[in-house]
Amino acid sequence: MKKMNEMILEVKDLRKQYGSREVVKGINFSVMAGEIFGLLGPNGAGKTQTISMLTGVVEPSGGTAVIGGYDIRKRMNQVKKINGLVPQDLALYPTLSARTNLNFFGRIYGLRGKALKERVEDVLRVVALTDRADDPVENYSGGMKRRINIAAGLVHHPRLLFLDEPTVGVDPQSRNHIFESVMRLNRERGMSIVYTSHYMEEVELLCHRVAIIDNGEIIALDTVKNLIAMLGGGVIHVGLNQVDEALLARIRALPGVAQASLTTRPAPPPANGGEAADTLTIAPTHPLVKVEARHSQTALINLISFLNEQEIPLVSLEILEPNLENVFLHLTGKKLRE
Amino acid sequence: MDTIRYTLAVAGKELQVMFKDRGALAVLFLLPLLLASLLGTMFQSFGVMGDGEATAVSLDIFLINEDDGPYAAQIVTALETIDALNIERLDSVTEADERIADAQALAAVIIPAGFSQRVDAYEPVQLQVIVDPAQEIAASIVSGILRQVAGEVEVVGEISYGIRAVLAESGALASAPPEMQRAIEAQTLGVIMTQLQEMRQNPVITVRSEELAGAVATEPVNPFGYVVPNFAVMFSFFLVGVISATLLREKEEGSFRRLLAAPLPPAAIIAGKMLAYMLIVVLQVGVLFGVAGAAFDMPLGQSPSGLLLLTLALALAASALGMLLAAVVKTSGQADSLGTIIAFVLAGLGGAIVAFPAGSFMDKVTLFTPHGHALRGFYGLLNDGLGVVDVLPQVGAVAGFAAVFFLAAMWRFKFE
Ligand SMILES: Nc1ncnc2c1ncn2[C@@H]1O[C@H](COP(=O)(O)OP(=O)(O)OP(=O)(O)O)[C@@H](O)[C@H]1O
Ligand SMILES: [Mg+2]
Repeated sequence: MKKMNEMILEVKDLRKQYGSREVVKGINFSVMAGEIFGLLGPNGAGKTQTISMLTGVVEPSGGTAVIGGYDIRKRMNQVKKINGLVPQDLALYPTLSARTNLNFFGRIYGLRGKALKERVEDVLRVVALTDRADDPVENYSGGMKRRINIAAGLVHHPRLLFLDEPTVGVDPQSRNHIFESVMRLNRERGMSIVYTSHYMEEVELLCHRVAIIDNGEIIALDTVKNLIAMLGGGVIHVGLNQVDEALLARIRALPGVAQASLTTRPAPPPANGGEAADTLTIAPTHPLVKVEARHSQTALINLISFLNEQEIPLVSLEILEPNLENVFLHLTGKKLRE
Repeated sequence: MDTIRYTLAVAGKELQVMFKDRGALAVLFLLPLLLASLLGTMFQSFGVMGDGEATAVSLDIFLINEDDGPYAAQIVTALETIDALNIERLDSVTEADERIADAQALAAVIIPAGFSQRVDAYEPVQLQVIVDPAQEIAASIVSGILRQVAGEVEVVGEISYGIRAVLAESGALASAPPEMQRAIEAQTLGVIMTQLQEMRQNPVITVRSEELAGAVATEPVNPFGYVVPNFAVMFSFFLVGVISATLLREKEEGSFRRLLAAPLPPAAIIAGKMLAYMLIVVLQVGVLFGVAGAAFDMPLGQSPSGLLLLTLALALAASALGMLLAAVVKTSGQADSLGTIIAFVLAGLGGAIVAFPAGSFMDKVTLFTPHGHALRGFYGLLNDGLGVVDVLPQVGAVAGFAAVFFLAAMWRFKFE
């Protein structure tokens, strides 16, 4: 791996506006050379818009970014040679074969002749589709289409690869294959990668650092480990019949508990419900205490015995597993996916 | 230098995509070929185009129509518009028999019941003719006319059968909704019927009458020299819908994003696409003219360079109009259907479907379409032996349309 102190991408107050609606609201982040950087956020968060601005597909409304030392507002043509883009949709010519597609996508990066041929064969190997390379893409399975979609972004050997939700609608087998390829490209070729997803498992598995994006804003940015550590030893939601400041203070004093507060958040909607914001959920009739634990097991034991001693009935109890999903929930009060 | 390479790469890809689209190929190549050869043949057998005088003879015939279908009605109309025939409608065959024996008419024509159905089913049809053996020559003329008129009806059946076959064969159009297929079929058939009507009413077309009048027939003009350029010009503009639909489909499917993210200049994207479609127009015209020249002795004129230049201008105009359509409509579906409509309307206004009498109002209207100028150029090159310099005004006019379309397209086109 390359030394991690060289910056390949630096985003500075980047904005995108459609009419009066700002869909990317002045974001800042940077990606180190050799890093896999995750952009995690729900539908409509602004992930694709961000990538589109960085790759020259749409014009930013404000701010800028520097990629490989070139400002995207001034030297986009240089930037384009560094970038590789794997769009969220299958951006291929379905009636043409995989090989023809790849040949074309290599040509528009200035490749030709022997070099082009070698690169095409090489990326076909990377995505393990050499055998089927002459079939029209429209005859491929969903997973194979995804793989060739990735291959098309690799032909010109980009230094910085943007993967926009590359595993949507993919079976577990193809998904694992894609993970492996991504990790191999990063490890063996030192490719820097910006990976967007709304699957936290993927981001946890692949990314060195993650920016959590919601509503066009970055609400947290750190390593996966540090982000999860935001939940401390864990978060426990406790439903009680009655809560006052005195009770909260006593809970805070319990061993293993770091913080206790009354949460204004309504109970999360049922898993099959629509978007949290649009769904009318009946708020729980009981108050909910959010207990941030230094150590969840210790906190839990002490909490329950305390409630027992005080004869305070426990109405509901939920332990939030320490993962990015719950970091997002913790930060926004929303679920990452409905 | 690089821009040229990028342009060629885009054009190459565009052609590869195009040649996988069998439906579009059938519409662009097979259909005009089929229509031009059928229509040209019909003109040839039906009459001579030229300055021949209309015959002054008048032949009395009876007509008994036992069929109530559309094709029988067409035959009746066709016979009634022929000046040389003086037609009386009768109700029964027996009456006709008696009156012919009585020398009250030369012949009686009977259209049997079920005639239209048979034409529709593409079965052989027969018209019955009762003649007066005493009037041998006149009777043979009547039979001759009838054969042609009936042949014409048969050809219409054949054309609609042919269109259906081409559409079915192409496969890709099978995915088009059936209303769309029927609409295309009906529109094309409509064009043919309009031309047939025109052919009958146009005074320059007369019944072949050498034997009767003993006059020397004027030197026949090869009808293919008109029919083929008409279809060539008309069908080159069918590309308008194809170009814009493929471009919009690329945006919808997302491959356009890859083009935008790549370091090729936007001009190469536009130029590459236009180049590809211009090549297709050149191929279309080449195939049509080549086949018509080889198979039907269509005159090819004296000036290959004139033909090439005019064809290139035509190709530029058609592909620029395609870009313009892509710039103003939102979806590939709209582009497809609007493109077809534009192609028919422009062909109609431009005189590619029906030729307008010289100097008439509609003849002047044709000059507001690229078609009008292109057709004048092609007629001149093919039929009047004009050279490249003679058609420069037409080439310039067509290229002017191309420039206007192109500028308007670039003004409205959004790369995002
Ligand atoms: N051309 C456009 N015009 C207006 N609004 C747009 C346009 N493109 C995107 N948006 C809006 O910008 C916001 C961010 O969209 P974006 O595609 O970046 O989301 P995303 O994070 O990629 O979501 P997903 O996970 O669904 O792909 C959305 O609210 C979207 O409706
Ligand atoms: Mg997206």
